[in-house]
Amino acid sequence: MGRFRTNRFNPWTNLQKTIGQKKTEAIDGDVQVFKSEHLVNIPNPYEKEKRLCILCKMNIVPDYKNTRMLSQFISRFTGRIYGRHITGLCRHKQDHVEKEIKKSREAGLMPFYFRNPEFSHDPKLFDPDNPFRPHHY
Amino acid sequence: MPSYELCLLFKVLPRPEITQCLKRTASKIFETGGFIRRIDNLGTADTPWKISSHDAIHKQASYFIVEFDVPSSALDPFNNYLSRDIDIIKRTIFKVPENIPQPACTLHEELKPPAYRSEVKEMIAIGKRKREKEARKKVQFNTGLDYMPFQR
Ligand SMILES: [Zn+2]
Repeated sequence: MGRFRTNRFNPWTNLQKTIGQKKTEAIDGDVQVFKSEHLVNIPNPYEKEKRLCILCKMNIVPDYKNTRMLSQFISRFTGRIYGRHITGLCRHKQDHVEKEIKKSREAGLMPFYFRNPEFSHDPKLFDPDNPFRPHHY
Repeated sequence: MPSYELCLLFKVLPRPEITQCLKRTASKIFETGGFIRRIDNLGTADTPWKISSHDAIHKQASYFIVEFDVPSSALDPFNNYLSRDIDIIKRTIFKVPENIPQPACTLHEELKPPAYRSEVKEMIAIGKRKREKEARKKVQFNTGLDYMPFQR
């Protein structure tokens, strides 16, 4: 049970407790009142933590002048913009990034068919072979 | 007056001549009744591709960003003026977007399995509506019989 935090309610132990509670009540009398301080109106203990995309987390607004940042979202070999399932951006940020890359190319700041070799060894934000959601092929 | 951003690529020229070029551009903006917010120098760099303009091929350019406000009617003549300036290799005018509030991140919803995603639910609803519509179009023989008495 390592994945549950200590301050969080552990569903298994309390489930055992309430089952025991219910049994004794049934023996005691005919009035069955299900009293439980737990298991009612609690947040889902299995809910995963909310994930944010890297641009939302860092609070970055993509801009066409920032070619170094935008270059991280295009292929080093073909210059194509990686899809949302690879970059792991939310819908809005992905659209924004694509728009800014197109603006930047139109202005002559960024190449169309490759990534600027200066930025070849920039840290990778994602792995195209290991996408956030599966490839469609 | 809306705000615009001008990305200017000048020929690689010595400093005094570049200043002259910028002055020319700036004075043209003031003539049209606009004003300049900011001028940024992005330095001299290799262009991403060979750019041919005014009968010459350029592989290097000095990059400048000019933020300015002009009446929108003056923008077309201004762009035309820039196109005739022989020291300018390339120029692009973008409108500066208004302060758009950034919507909250939806990545968490997008990474859910398809059946839990709202967009997939919407698609299913569209398909269901379409099938219902087609079913309504189909002729129904209200004979009260569970077989077909006449030849179809
Ligand atoms: Zn996001």
